Amino acid sequence: MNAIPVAKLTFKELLKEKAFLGLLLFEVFLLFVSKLISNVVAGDTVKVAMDFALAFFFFTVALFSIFASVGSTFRDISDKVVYLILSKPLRRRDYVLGKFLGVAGAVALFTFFSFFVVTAGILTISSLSNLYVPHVIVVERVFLVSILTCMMGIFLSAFGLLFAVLFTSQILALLSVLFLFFAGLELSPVKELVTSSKYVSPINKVIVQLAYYLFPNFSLFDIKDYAVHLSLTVSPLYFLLVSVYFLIYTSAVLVVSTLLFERREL
Amino acid sequence: MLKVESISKKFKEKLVIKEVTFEILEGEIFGFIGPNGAGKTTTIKIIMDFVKPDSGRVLIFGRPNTDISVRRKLGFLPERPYIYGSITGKEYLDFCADVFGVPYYERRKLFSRLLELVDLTGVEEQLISSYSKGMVQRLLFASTLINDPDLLILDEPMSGLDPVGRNIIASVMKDLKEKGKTVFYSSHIIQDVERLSDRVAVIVDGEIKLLDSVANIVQNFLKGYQVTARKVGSSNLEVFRAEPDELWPLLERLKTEGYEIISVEPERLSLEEILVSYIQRKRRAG
Ligand SMILES: Nc1ncnc2c1ncn2[C@@H]1O[C@H](COP(=O)(O)OP(=O)(O)OP(=O)(O)O)[C@@H](O)[C@H]1O
Ligand SMILES: [Mg+2]
Repeated sequence: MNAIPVAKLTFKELLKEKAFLGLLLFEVFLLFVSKLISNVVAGDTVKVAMDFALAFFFFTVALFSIFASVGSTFRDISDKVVYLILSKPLRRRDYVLGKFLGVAGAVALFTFFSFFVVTAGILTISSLSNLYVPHVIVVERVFLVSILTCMMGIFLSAFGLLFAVLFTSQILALLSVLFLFFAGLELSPVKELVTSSKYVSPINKVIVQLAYYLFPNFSLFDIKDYAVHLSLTVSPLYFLLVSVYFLIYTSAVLVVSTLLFERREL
Repeated sequence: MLKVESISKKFKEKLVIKEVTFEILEGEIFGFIGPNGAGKTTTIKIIMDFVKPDSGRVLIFGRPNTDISVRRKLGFLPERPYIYGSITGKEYLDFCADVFGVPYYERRKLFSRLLELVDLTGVEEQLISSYSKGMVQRLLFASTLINDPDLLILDEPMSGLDPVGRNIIASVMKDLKEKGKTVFYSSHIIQDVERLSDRVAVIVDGEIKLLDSVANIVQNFLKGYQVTARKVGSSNLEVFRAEPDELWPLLERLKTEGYEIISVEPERLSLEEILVSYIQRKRRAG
């Protein structure tokens, strides 16, 4: 496994990047924001605060994944670290896979730390209110949310890597991944809108349907409602299917990234 | 060792490398010189398979350069090398050791030997961001030796270094040559090339203009001789000049006139003077 040394190097580099600690601190800040919002919005304060806290959590992990994957790969290429790496007996596909695994490791660790930050925040917020909150169940559900959030981050990192080897401009790559992420979150509303509209031809409806299933669907990984509303349940089958989707799609993106990188002049 | 067979490369319709051909023999130090933008780095990138040539091919140890197994015994240092500031020197060396499968129990000794070679003992636990530019370059140079390579390819290993740093690199290169290793390097600093290389190739505008041993080149550009002599019994030294092909007649004449020869010094152009005049001449002609 020649990809492992590259993965280790990438992982070490990312942990010491400012983005890692910076975004964790940002996460703490967002917890205060969630608390403030819950004070001014009507409804169950704890649920509102959790809703925002988990949305921010999802968003921060996405941001970290994008910066880690695009940033790290661009640093390698523009600062010529790739020359050092690829002059060793490593194939370009080892580099792509290693880079992905390293970023995935950093995303997993980031999510893990974030889980503690967010859980601590939510428990603090709930203990400040005088509503009854079953803490054990909440923590367990936030943990499940974290697992899918982590998967989302890793999935997004694969796209980050793809755009980083596809584009020669870092800004363009960052913006494309961000666009992809937000578009991938809003797929179902758009699909609903189009397929229920009288003004869209059946053929276009089919195209939209197809696009819906092919476009990376980041909202699949967003199960915060389940953590917030304890009456909701998610079946284990859902987790399984999302995992399969994640594995197949991520592998496909990595294969495409490798093919592109193998053709790229450095 | 390394064979470059008529490679050409176009960047956006501009022919940057034109039918470049040369071969590097086992155990020699081969200098690759040329002015800015001549195509040195591009040639090296093609050798390393970072860039594909439009035509021609490169063989390393007799195998195509696309075969990654040739890299097991290869060391490479890019131009103005850079590595993440957020890791330590040791973490980078560990990466190299990981790639080459160096077992952990050998690493401490190996790393300290390599660091000593480039006068960096004791900095391995510090973050690379705290190193000076020259230290980074020396660290990365040392790291290219981690697999005990038979062939080293170095793109301007000495530029950006102070005289002490340049000397360190030069003496390591000489040591490697003594051990039978081969070194191919590009440089701007002709004095270094002159005292270090066995052979040089000069590239200008993507073409190899001159390829020969340093001794030959300097010999061919001999300006003449300076003969210092003294009449027998006199204490005054006299200096005579001879054109390259007139040395023997001069010596004969001095002998018959009763002179005692004190010294004969060849008047040579330095490699630098040769190349500058050579390149200017070519430019004017082209
Ligand atoms: N990726 C590229 N796209 C377009 N042109 C390029 C590219 N890389 C190099 N060139 C051009 O090729 C020529 C040779 O460049 P190269 O970097 O090989 O020169 P060099 O001899 O290494 O110069 P220096 O001494 O400045 O390092 C230059 O004219 C340069 O502008
Ligand atoms: Mg160069």
